[in-house]
Amino acid sequence: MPSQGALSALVAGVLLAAAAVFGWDTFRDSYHLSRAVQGVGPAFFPRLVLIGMAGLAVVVIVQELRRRSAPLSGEGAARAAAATALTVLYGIGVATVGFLLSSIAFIALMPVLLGYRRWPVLAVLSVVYAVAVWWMFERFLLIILPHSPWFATF
Amino acid sequence: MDPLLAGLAAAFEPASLLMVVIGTVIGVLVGVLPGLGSVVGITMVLPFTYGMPQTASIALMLGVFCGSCYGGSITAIVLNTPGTPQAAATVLDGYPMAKRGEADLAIGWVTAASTLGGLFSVLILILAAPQLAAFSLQFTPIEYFALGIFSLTCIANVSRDAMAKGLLAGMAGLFLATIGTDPVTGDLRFTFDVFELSSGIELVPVIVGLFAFSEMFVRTAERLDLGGAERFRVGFRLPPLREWRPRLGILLRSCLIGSFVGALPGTGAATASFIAYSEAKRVSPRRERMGHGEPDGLIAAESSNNAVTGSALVPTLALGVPGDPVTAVMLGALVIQGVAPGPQLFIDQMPLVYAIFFVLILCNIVMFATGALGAPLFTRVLRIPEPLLIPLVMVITLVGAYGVRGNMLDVWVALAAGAVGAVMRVTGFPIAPMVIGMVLSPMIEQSLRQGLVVTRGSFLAFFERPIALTLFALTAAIFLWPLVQRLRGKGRGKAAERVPDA
Repeated sequence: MPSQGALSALVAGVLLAAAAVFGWDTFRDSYHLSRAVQGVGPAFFPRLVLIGMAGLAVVVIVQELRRRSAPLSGEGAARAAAATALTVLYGIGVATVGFLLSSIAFIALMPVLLGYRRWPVLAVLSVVYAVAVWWMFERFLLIILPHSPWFATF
Repeated sequence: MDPLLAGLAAAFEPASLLMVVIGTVIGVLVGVLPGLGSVVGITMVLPFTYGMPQTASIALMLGVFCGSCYGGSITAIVLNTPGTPQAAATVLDGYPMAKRGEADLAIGWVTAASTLGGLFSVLILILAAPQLAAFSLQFTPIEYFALGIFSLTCIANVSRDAMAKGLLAGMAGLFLATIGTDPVTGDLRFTFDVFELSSGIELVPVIVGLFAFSEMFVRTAERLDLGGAERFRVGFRLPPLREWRPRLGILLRSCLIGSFVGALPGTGAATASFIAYSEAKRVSPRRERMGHGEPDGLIAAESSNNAVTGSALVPTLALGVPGDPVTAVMLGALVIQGVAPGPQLFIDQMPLVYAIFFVLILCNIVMFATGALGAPLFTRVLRIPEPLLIPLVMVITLVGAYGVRGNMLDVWVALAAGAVGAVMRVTGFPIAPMVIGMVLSPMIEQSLRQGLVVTRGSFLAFFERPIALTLFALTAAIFLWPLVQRLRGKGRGKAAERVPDA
């Protein structure tokens, strides 16, 4: 595994690149054509911030590359990556098959991924909790959550 | 109707009272569970506030805030692990008392001290916030710009060990808030023709992702307890009045420390409790016993960390600037509720301001009752295995992100922020500065641009106004102080090296 310092430098590098891309975007024609008051247009403040961001990113990169840090422990990284992927799939599920069905699946699968194996608890909890949250928001607080394409109510 | 009576009526509406109780109970539960904390707790209840009346939604959030500040102390006493960072100092005397078989008495001390600290801070809020709001009516955009820059100093306070990383995260937050429609000219900025981005990136999904999702992602990498904490029972015993009398000085001093620290940008309850604890250790006649189960330590830690709750709201309500991540989340939630914190709040919406005061008083009273009646039950929540708890928290927080606008884009923003937050946690970038930057960015940009119009484009004229100059000087002092300390430390180190040579 890379060291914390190397990863920090990488994060700062990404921010430096982002500052460069967005900074370049502020020189688009549309910004120059817009109304400027006392010489200050829509690109003025973002440019200031992006210059500060770029400068600080360079400082962090230099600091982190000069710092000696131990390699990060890779233990659990695969599990965290799998949990993150499952959560992204849950997000996709909410958008495509609706909140209720995807929540039942997510609540049942995430504990399994994390090593929990009491199946009756998982079955009951995933259904009861997802239905309770769905009912609370849809029926009680009147916040409409994404529906599935197959059922009119959920 | 008189604003005071209207506020009283709003606070005592059944919905508000119910939310005070529910919020406080949820807050205590969140505090008891190690690692969740006030920000995740408030983030979890956010989606429930969207459909509620103003006072009820504020009552729910304040209840969670107060309850979570107190709840961590229960875990600190019975498990030797603080449920929240603000209860870290409570461990020092709470756990030794529990080991002596006085866990019930320790919980009695912390419950009473937390309640008294919380009530004291409400008094500070009632006295200070209107004065500060009245004073801030003199502010022009130039003073607001200086105030915005001063508020950024909380980034320095929350990033002590990683100042450059904290400032970089803060800058990234300042930038994120500029995406969308320019508030002055109406031009679209950095949207890259994505229509959904034209209204900008919502604050709440970013907070949900950075704090709640990232916490859960990082936890999944850890070795989780599949069975939950072991079974235990604790009681509640209130200390007799004669035990309080010699400790009133410590109590008052700690309340004052907590209230003062809470009003400062970026400090928070954990800092307050450690300062109050070390001050108690300095002045207490029983200081030798501190660290071995002395109630003075519990009083200092718990009254000070709960004294933060009211005073942290002073700059938030009076000036519209958050003092820490907790008040940043609450500020975002208040804006969703149609409340615009700032001096105008104290002119246009006095009934709501009074309602907030009364609600905070109620929260502290309910917190005492909750602790007294429920402390033994709350520890049972520790039996929930973490693999089950993680998806439950994530489902609620996802609804929190979605419910702001009923828009899936906000869910993607929250998930992306969660991944970013997890990387930041692993690489030692503080998360709070990014949120603080996002909250302050619109205020700083607008006041800067309006100020430049007032001064006809001269930025130097900003330094000619006394209040702004004072705020700029304070900002420079706070940012430069750690550097001065480091240089002094190096100087001392060199001097110490020279002495043996001589």
